[in-house]
Amino acid sequence: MSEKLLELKNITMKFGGVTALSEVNLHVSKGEIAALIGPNGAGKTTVFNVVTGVYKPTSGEVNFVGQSVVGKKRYQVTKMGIARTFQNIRLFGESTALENVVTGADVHSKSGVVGAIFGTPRSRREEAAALERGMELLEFMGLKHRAGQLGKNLPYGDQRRLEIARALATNPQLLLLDEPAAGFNPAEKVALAATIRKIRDAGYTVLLIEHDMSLIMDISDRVAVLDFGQKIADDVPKVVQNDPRVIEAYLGAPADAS
Amino acid sequence: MDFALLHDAFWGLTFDGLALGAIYALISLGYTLVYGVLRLINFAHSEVFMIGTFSALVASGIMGVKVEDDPRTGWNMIFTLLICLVAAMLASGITAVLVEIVAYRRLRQRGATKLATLISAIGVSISLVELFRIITDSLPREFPRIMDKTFLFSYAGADIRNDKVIVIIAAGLMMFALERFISKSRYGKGIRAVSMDENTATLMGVNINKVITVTFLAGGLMAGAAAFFYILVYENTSFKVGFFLGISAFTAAVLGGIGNLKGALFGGFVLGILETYTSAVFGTAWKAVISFLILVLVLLIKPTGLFGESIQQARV
Ligand SMILES: Nc1ncnc2c1ncn2[C@@H]1O[C@H](COP(=O)(O)OP(=O)(O)OP(=O)(O)O)[C@@H](O)[C@H]1O
Ligand SMILES: [Mg+2]
Repeated sequence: MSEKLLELKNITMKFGGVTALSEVNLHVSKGEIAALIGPNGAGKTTVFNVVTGVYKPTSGEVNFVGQSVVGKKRYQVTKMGIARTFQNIRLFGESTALENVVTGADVHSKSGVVGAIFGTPRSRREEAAALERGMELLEFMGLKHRAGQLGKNLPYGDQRRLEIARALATNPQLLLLDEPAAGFNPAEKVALAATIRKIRDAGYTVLLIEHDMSLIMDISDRVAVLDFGQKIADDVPKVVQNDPRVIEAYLGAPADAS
Repeated sequence: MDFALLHDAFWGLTFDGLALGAIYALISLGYTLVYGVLRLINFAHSEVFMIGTFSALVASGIMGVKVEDDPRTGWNMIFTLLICLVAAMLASGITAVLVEIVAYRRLRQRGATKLATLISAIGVSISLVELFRIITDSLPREFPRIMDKTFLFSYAGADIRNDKVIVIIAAGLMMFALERFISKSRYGKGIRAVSMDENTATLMGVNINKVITVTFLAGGLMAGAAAFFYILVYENTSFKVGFFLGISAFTAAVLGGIGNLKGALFGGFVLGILETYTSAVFGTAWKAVISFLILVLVLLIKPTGLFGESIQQARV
């Protein structure tokens, strides 16, 4: 039995009159690639926002390696080991690719303000190590040649990959990817699938939001389906694919049309 | 009106303007840095400067310098100057951080409006001015002469005085150090990340309160250095010294494009030189008018300033 890395218990998230999530139970096990799918507005991104501390859930618990995440500051959640990318790219456009990644690495540095101002040996060491690690991650994501270019000047696909590199720089246990293949052509999607596998094999756990079914079926170990804020399925891809409720949610037609 | 003076003493005035401009530039960095991360005009920044001047004064007293003394020489002089500089920087840096913690942080964490924070800024400014009015009995204070002021050389009719040379060079070094800090250090990257996109920065593990503290500290240290340079050159201060200096430095920041470090430096020097020309032609009484005039003109014609708002690039 694999250990649960992330666990959401009875999460409800209301925005005024809108219930974005309703009593959702969800978990991610260590070492897996889990997928979260569902029609537009189903509440997928809201799950990420609740997990990373952007929103405080109306009710319910979020536990990460046995510790509660609810009420933690965002940087603390990042420090605990959860990192994410964004559905609409949110890079630091005026910083270089390398600087983007290094900003992510900052969360674990130990040297203080005074050290940074006066450039103490420890802080220099940490900064040098962060740059080295940043270059490694850029190389890992196939972006080494972009290191010195401004985020806003990168081609679209590289921007998406840079977001992943920046998230990995925080040295997370769990990586949350929000539609990383959005806007990709089929060849780019295949390459991305290989990259996500490579990330998992490097020891990270992945929770992935995606609309592309063939990508999901290809790489996920488990698929959870949200519809109107409720979880309607959670199983291996094959089973989910044939679940009538899932088909109904996607096709918008009642399964027992009469 | 005396345009002949401007013509005859052009290079000398320009040189004086550069020294004044260096001081404005150092102060305006504080306005611009804070605006970059908080989108807030820190109206208490002028008092951060004012406290720097009084700290340098107190430090000189502790070092045993008296107004009637002869200027010091050699290592004794250098050591005394450095002590006064460090005292001013520390006092201003600490004041800036305290202002952030006392007057802004709590409001921010309760999600107060920008307007509430602005009023808090003005409140802090008034309180500090009044506090120093009481302490100093509303009287200006004279700063003893630590170093002998001599003319190093003449160039095109301009007499180049040693203290102003020191101010221009030292201010340049400070600006260079700040640029390195913002563009290279991890806090600098944090400051730029927060300026670009605060929400994403926090999700990438940037500790926002720490970044804001460092921002106020950096701005305060620069204002403290400016305070020491000011008192070194002009040799006096009073509880209201922050008011006019603050207006000019704020105008410099707006002229360059508030939020833009390079713009703040440029604006500082331009304003310093223009004010010096103005006082030569129209008399010193008109000095402040030019900064108000520029402030109004910039806000009317190009509110984003000459360089636009982009602390993100932060290439000084
Ligand atoms: N901050 C917010 N304020 C109000 N309503 C919100 C907010 N965030 C999300 N919602 C609502 O919650 C619901 C779920 O949104 P969410 O972004 O989680 O959907 P999603 O599954 O990610 O959709 P998509 O596939 O389009 O990205 C939507 O009805 C949305 O309008
Ligand atoms: Mg979404």
